Amino acid sequence: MIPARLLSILTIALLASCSRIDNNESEQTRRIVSLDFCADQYLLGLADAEQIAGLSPDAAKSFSYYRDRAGAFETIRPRAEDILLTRPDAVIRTYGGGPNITRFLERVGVRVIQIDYAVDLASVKANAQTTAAALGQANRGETIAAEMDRRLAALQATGALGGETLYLTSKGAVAGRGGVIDELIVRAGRSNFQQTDGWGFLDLERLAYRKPDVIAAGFFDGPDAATDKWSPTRHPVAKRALENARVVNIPGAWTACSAWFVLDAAEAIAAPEEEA
Amino acid sequence: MTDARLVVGLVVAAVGAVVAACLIGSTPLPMGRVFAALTGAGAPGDVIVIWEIRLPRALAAFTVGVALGASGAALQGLLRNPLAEPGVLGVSACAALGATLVLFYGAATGLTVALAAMTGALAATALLAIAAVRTSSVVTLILIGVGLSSFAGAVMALLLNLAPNPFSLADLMNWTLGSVANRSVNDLALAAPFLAGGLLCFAVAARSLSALALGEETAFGLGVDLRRTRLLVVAGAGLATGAAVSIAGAIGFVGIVAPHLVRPFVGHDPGRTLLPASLLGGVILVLGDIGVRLIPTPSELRLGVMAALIGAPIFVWIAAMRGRRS
Repeated sequence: MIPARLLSILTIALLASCSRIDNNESEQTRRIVSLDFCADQYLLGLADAEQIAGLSPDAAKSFSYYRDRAGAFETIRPRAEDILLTRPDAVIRTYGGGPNITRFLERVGVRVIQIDYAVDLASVKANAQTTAAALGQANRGETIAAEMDRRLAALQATGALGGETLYLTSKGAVAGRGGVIDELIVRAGRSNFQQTDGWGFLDLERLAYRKPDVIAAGFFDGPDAATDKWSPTRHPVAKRALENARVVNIPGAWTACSAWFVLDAAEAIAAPEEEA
Repeated sequence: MTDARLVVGLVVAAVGAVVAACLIGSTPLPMGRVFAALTGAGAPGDVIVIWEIRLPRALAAFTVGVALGASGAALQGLLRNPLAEPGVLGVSACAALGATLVLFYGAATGLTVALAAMTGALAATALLAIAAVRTSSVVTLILIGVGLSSFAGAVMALLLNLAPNPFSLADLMNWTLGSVANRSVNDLALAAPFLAGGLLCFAVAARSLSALALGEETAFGLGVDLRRTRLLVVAGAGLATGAAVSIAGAIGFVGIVAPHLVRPFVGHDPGRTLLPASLLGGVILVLGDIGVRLIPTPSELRLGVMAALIGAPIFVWIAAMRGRRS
């Protein structure tokens, strides 16, 4: 015998399949569910409130940029059953729901808007535009892209500020050459202290010989930031570097998802000391 | 080999291992610069690297090894079972659980983590000591330890499952992997009083442990206070293992390998095993930590992983040898 719950899910899946609208990208997609906190940002930042059928359970947490807007919406666990019970027209995700969720949802007729991983500011902008278009909010995407261009131009107009800048998270991760953070540091008119490629961990020995002028301290704002027993940032050598450099606090919410609001971080890094 | 020669040899090995550990790091430092820094005459950067980064890390590995080696030797003496050690008996896992519970509930400071680790270790050793009184079966005791370890692992998995955010997962997970990377003198200073207390308990119990090797009745006849001995070893193992876990997380098998290797040199006397086993435990972990830094992996291998990879086969080998003898 087929359990009643399974039957109801299959029925909903069938209904979802039948009611699927072949979305023209200029049309607004109704009833969208977000599967992770990065996707939440795109949905909260680009969609109209009436388009949002549900957000991820992390939407209102401290590392969510639009957490203040999230309280008005229902949260849904990124599980197939819970998603289907909300009868969405589309879901939006970066990683939420696991690797097999896309295939499953598409098989039952739910459109999946997959946000790509941004590797630089150009792809940050492109993500905003393509995601906005997929949500039926192409104009909003263009507005955000134009705003990004304006802010970057303003940073460029400031000129080179100098000062080696280390992006350091509370867990001890550092951003090397390449990637969004490196570009933010350079666009802010400074140079990246970390000269290795990609992400790495803080090398305490290097700090013994050479100190950054500016430390862009990421994720030091979280509730557990100060308690990570394993982080090199607890070490006296790192603590001294943090005391001696100019520290610019970069809330985790600004950079966690590499969405358009990462420019907040660039502006903070570029800001004169009294404004940072 | 006399005990004194063995101890002197191990002290020399320990000093050599710690000095060797000071030669390895991300900054290439020739031996001359390392020795200049060790004497305080080096360049300021070199002095910081040696005295604040490399030496504390090496001493942390040594301290953890001493604590686990001594705890293993003492527990083996008390339970008269060469397979007993903090990792196998779940003491390390319970200590790590104590630390992660504090972390999970947002009450983590240096001191609360250390105290929680020691509470977890003491609870586990007390439970084992109670079980040891009630059963004479070595297998039952080991199984209780395995059960404790599994339970602690399950609760830690639950905490990982309920982690408040994706960023705290690594923090919780690291307690089970074990590492002395980024340890400073502050970490050593925090654990030192508890470790000293644990080692003192073992030192006081050493003679009784030697007598206990002849059997409980004979030991009693020789005037050994069994209850006091049990209490000293339980308290010592709880304090020392808790101190070790508070520095490095859960690191297994050192407590089984070190006593096993020194036992033939001290006439299989549990009391005489304590000091050399603790020194050898220290040497093993310093060498292990040199190993994790030299193995070219994308991210540094965890010391606890390395210890388990080497220690687990030795554990199986010891168990197999025991089975063959019996």
